[in-house]
Amino acid sequence: MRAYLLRKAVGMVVTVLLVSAISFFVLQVVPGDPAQVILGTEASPEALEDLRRQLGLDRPLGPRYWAWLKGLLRGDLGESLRYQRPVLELLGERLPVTLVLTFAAVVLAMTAALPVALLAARHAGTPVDLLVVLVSQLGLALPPFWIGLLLIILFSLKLGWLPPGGYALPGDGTVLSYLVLPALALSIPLAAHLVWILRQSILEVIEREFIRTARAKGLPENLVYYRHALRNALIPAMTVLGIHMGALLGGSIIIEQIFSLPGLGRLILFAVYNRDWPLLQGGVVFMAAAVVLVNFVTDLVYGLLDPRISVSDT
Amino acid sequence: MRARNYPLLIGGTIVLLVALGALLGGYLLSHHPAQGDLAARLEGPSPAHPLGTDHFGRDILSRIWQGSRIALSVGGGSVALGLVGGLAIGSIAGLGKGWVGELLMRLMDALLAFPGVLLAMALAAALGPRESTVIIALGLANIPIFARLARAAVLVVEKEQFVLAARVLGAGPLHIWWRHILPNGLPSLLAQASLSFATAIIVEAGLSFLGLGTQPPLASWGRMLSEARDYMGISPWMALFPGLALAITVLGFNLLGEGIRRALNPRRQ
Repeated sequence: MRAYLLRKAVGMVVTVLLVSAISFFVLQVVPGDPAQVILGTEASPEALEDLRRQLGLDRPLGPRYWAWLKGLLRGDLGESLRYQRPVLELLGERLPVTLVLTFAAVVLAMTAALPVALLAARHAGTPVDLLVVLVSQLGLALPPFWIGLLLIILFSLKLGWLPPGGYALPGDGTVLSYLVLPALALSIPLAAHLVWILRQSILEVIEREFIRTARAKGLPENLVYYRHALRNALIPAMTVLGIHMGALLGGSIIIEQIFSLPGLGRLILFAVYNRDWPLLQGGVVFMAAAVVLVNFVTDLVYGLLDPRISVSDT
Repeated sequence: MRARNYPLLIGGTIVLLVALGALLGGYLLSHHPAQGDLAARLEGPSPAHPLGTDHFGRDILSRIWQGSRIALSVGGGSVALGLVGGLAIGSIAGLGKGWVGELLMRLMDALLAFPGVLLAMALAAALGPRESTVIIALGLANIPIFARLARAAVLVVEKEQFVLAARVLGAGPLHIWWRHILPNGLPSLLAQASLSFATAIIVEAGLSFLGLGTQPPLASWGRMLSEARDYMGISPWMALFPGLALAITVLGFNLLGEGIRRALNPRRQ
């Protein structure tokens, strides 16, 4: 078990390092000159040269990446060109909003998907099942940002129930009202995917022998589904959650922009628009690390959900 | 008795219709997608403009048609790139074992950890926002997915008796790859290709929505939706129709992918 964890953890670190290297070298192709970005177009060539030296831009790529990497180990991701503040500090400030948003989306998706998938599986082949399958396929086809726009049109502009965007100050009791629509928009494709997978895997599990045994010994049908079928069907659902994490974070970038939420996604988008490459580099590695970490955790959760998957012998 | 493969039928029909529309739409539409009539701004659906007009008085139907060409070319380009690249890398990683394969798959894992949108945003910052950047970014994001499938196919097929037999008869690795592994692996790659196509269309729309994809005056569905944002209160259909076109097309490719998958495992209906 310990050896397995260690190997997984090492793999995780290697992956994040590779991500950082790839993004570092990709971002170095940026045609815009960071020194020019800071000083503006009016700057003298000498001042530009000075700043380039100060930022280390006159050195070759390899040493620059090495220096960045050493900084990373100290928890120093450099300084944002536009904000003139440490990248890590900026990321830390924006992280809670994105975290709450994605967490809310996952919770919403799970709460909606579980009962719906159970319903469909228990009535497999009936019109109820067909309806669920159709709706979930439709949900998969709807881009979250379009759902976001439609939600704003309906709930903010027509009904006036919820704010169309923005965010409350901390301590203000209205934070939730700003998160409802974005979390809903973000959760719909995930919920659809989960319903699809859960329904399929419940249907597969329900034909297995231990289910027949459970039924034969007179276990009520509800218990058969909740205790046996659902628990086994949750494993593929966890995989979907892990796979979806990247899409969820990617989706949050657009959703935060639509709803003007001050999260990580908008920060990274700001970095893209303003060629703030230290901020962009830091943000990219930060998000990729989050995806890798979530996948690591889902791997561990398999073991909890299914004792037969002993993590030591994989 | 085998149930009909409805996903394949419905998905295939939608994809065929969208492709035909994108090909032939130019001959049927009377309005130019970029030419506006300022006297007819933000109009609702009418016989002259079946889906209404936008804030410049441009015909929304014509713009959706232009958007369909962009969606299909970005989807097709990125899937082709991902398929060819992934097939090559996955096959090499599967056939050549040892550290080469290990290193390649590790690289693929790293690429997979990148959210596709993020990769595309980084590339848009580096190479400039345009259609080709989106194709490259999404193609790169697709490579690890296809590489994994290709490698899995190699590892499974390699152990089959007929491959052993071919090897005993003196067949080289290239021959075995071309005659045995490729035909057996291709179907699952094709199912994935259809799903990746759908994803590419959604991501392209998202990037164009953010201004990092297709640039004006070209009409991408994402750009149309982003322009519609400012007029949501007065003309909601501007946000409705491009989104519908997007959803229907994505639905078509998703169903097609699912249909191909079902056709491959007739047991799992």
